[in-house]
This record gives sequence, structure tokens and C-alpha cells, in this order.
Amino acid sequence: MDIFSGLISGVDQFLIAPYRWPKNPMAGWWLGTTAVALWATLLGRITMALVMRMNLSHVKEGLAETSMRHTQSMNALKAGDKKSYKAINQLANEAYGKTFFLQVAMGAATLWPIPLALGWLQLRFSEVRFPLPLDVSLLRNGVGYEFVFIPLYILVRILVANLVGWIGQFRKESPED
Amino acid sequence: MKNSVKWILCVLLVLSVFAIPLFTPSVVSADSLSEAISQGISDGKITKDAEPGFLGIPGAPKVNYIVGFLWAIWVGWIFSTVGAFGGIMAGVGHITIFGLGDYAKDFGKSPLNKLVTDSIRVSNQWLVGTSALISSTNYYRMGRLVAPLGMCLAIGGVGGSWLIPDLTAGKVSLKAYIGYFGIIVLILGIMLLRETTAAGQAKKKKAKEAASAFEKQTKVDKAEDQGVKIVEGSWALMFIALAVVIASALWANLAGGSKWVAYVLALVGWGLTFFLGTIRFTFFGVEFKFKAFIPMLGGIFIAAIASFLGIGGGFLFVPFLTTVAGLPMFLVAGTSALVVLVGMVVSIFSYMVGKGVPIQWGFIGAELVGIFIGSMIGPRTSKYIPDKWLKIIFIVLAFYVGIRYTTKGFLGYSIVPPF
Repeated sequence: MDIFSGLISGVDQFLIAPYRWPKNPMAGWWLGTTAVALWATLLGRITMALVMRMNLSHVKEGLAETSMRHTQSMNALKAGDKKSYKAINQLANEAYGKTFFLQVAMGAATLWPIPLALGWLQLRFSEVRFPLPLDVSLLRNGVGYEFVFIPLYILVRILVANLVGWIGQFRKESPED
Repeated sequence: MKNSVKWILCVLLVLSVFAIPLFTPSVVSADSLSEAISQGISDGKITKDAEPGFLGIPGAPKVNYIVGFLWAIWVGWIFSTVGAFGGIMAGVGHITIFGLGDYAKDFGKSPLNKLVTDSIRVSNQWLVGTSALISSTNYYRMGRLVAPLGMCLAIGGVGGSWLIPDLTAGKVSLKAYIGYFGIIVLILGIMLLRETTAAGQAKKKKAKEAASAFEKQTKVDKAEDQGVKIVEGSWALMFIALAVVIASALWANLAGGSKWVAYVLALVGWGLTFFLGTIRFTFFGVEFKFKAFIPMLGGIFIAAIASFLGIGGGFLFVPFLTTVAGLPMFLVAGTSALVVLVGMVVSIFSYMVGKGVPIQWGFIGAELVGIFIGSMIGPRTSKYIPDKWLKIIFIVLAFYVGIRYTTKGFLGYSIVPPF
């Protein structure tokens, strides 16, 4: 058994439990998959917060340089000096490229639970297919678990972000005595 | 807050389309993977009782998650130090490091070879697509997307990204795929090399001098002048052209027959762009303009290459938007991230839904964990390794990987060790 399979079987009992709570299997499917989406969202937020904490000063440094180059290039353009604009714009692009890819790599911190969740769903539900409303039977045997999980994950993520924002605002407005 | 409500409504709308049928699940009969495995067994290339490996194929190499994870830390480190080359390194991992390339080749021109090749492509696309998703969301928040430009690029790109998988999926063997991948890596190497030559350095020095001359004139613009404002552009026709091209992609992916309808729709969408005329917008109070069909043509070309190789194409969009469209940096980054995202979504959809290409999810998860760990290491090591040396390391690597893949793909053997 490889590490991934070992990990998966370790969390399997935990993840499958909500699927078995309701008697109706369809209700169980929705509840369980929502719970998986919630866990994926929360884990992603926690690791992203950690990475942000570690890298924030580097990101800020990169963005400050980018911003400076950008202002210089726009000034050159406003002054009608197209040649300088192009050259400075190139510098701005280079400065930004570095920070951009740093942020992209950091972004993996928020997304890593998604494929792992999909991997677990694949082990458990790869045989189940959902036919579509319109008979797009042309679509091979309907759609699979990914088409439920991904939109559900997006929805849960938006709701969690709003909830966190709302709690933050609430705490700001009513400071503890 | 209003924006969030809009978002939630959009997601609910999308969900509602899927919701009705989800109450009647059924059990799948056969998919393309099991069909390919059965074919492999009947051809005598797969031993039925062998232990399942990659994608659950009996006898396939077992993908080592620890190796994948360590490789991804390296990829994350490159992303956070040199940038774009990280995507290429992710591809190298999928092809060479995990032994999938050699395994797929064992099957000659069988469906299993093509399925493994397509799976590698889609794995790359998932990594690229997720990163484009993150950056597009950031730019949307910052208001730095030139929507009409993104749309024109997408009109070309959406067509290009379904047409190429359609014309090549299941037809390109891993050998040829590796060859084309090698050519792209070589081009990247040449681009990097140009920057480090004496001429490249002199150009940079001159640019820095020009930059400092304009530094003193910095004044803060009014906030309302800083965003993108569209001055001229035919929105209605642009939406129609985009809708027609998306319809062509959906038809191509979902409809089994009458493929010609999809081809006609794509051509009509592209043709409409020629009637869009010139689009003008202002950014930071400066006016920019472009002819709508130029980004459309660029979009077709770039998305075709990106989709074919399973890469994002960001490294092609950026020079296109700066050199051809002459756009300022902030707009280039945002707009290209958006186009990469649109292209990747359509392409992943084409492979996974249209062609039923399977993915080893756990592996992508392990890679993402490695990438973000690498991204924390990168900024800490770059203090000790000068920028110039980093570039030289990657030029050597790009030439080595590029030459190796190109010769292996097209000649059948590598001219650099290991042969």
C-alpha cells in the first residue's frame, strides 16, 4: 500500500460517515459531498494562511517594485515617449513575472485538498454516473462525481469566505469590553 | 457584498442545471479506460491479473507519491525563483520522472498509449488551470482585466482549444508529444538566453536609465482614472461571436455526430470578429486601441499550441500582449491569466467529458502540496543564489531537456545522455 492509499484509507471512515447518516442514499450523497467540500475548503484556508504568513514580505517587496516600474512606464507613455514606455514596460513585466509565479505557487496551498478529495470520491463513487436533464446522451453515460463536487466546492468556498468576512466585521463592530 | 450575491446566484444557476438529474444516478457501463484495458488484454500487452498501477491499469508502473511530492517541491521552488519555467518542469515530471513516458511507449499505437498520453496532458492542464484560476480572481478584484481584449482572445482561444484536442486526442502518440514538448522547451531556453547576452543586458540597463528619468515625474492620478474604461467597442457582436464559439466547443464535445456543425460554428464565430472593428479603452488616463481580429488570431494560435501540449500558454500570451498589442504590464498579466483560464476549462472539459480521459487525482494533490512547500523555500534561497546564476542554470536545463525530448520524440533516441 503506498502512502496515499494508506492516508486515504485512514480518513475513509471519517469522510464516509456523513454519507450514511440520512436513510435516503441521495440525501446522504449530498450531505456527505458537502461535508467533503467543507473540509477541503477549511484545510485549504488554513494552509494558505500559513504560506501567506511566511511569504507576505517577499510578495509585498515584489509588488512594490512592480508598482514603481508600472508608474514609470505610464509616465513615459503620457510624455509621449513610446520607446521608453516599451523598455520600462518590459522591466515591469519582468518584475511582475517573478511575484506572479510566486503567488501562483503559493496558490497551490489553497487548492491541494481538491484533487485529494476528488481522489477519494473516485475510489468511492467512480461507478456512479448522473444522467443530464436534457438527453445529451451524446455525453458519455452522463456526468460523474467531479461535476457535483467542483460546483459544490465553489459554492461552499464562497459561503465560507462570506461567513468569515461577516464574522470579522461583526467582531470589529462589537469589540470586547 | 452585492458582488458576492451575484456570484452565489451564478453558482446556484449552474448548480440548478445539474441538480435535477442528480436525483437519478445510474451505474456506468464501460468507459474509455476499461475499453482500452480490454483491448490491451486481448492484444496480449497487458496481463489481466498483474497488480494495478497508474490509473488502475494492470501491470502499469506504480506512481511513486514521494518522488512526485519531492519533484513538485522542486517545481514550486522554480516557480518562486525563476517563474514560468516551473510549468515546463511539471511536464518533465509527468513524462520522464514518473516513468510514464517509457511505459506508454510499450503499447505502440494502441488506445492505451493514447489514453496515458492524454491523461498526462490533462494532469498538466489541471495544474495550469488551477493557477490561472487563482490569478484571474485576483485581477478581477483589482479591476485590471481588459474584458473586450480578453473576449477577443477567448473567441480565438476557445475554438483553438477544442479543435486541437479534437483533431489530435487519441491520434498523437507519446513519442510525437514528447518531440513537440521538446521544441517548446528549446524556444523557452532561447528566450532566456537572449536576456543574458551582452546585448540583452545592455538593453536592460538602458531601460533602467529611462525608468529613473521618468521616476521624478510620478504624480498620483485620480483613482477613477486608474482603472480600465472602454471607449469604443461593439459589445453585442462580441458576445454573439463568443457565444457562437462556445456553442461550437459544446457541440464538438457533447454531440456524437455531425461534427461539421461545430466546425461551421467556430468559423462563423471567428468570422464575426472581423466585423468588430477597433476597440479603444483608457487605462491610467492613456488611450489604447486594437483591431479585434488580431487578438482573435493570436488566441487561436496560442490556445492551439497550449492545448496540444497541455501547457497554459501564458509564456506566449505575455510577449503577444506586450509586443503586438503594446499593453502595459498590469493589463497583460490579468488578461493573459483570464484567457489561459478559459482555454484550460474548455480543454479539460473536452478531454475529460468529451473523450473520457481518466486522471489520477491523488497524484495531482500530492504535487500541489509539494508546489506550495517549494514556494516557501524559493524566496529564502534566492538571497544566496544571484539572479544571473539562476538564469544560467535554467538555460542549461532548458537546452538539455529541449534537445533530449526533441531528438527522442522525432529521432527515436536522445543525443544527450542518458541515451
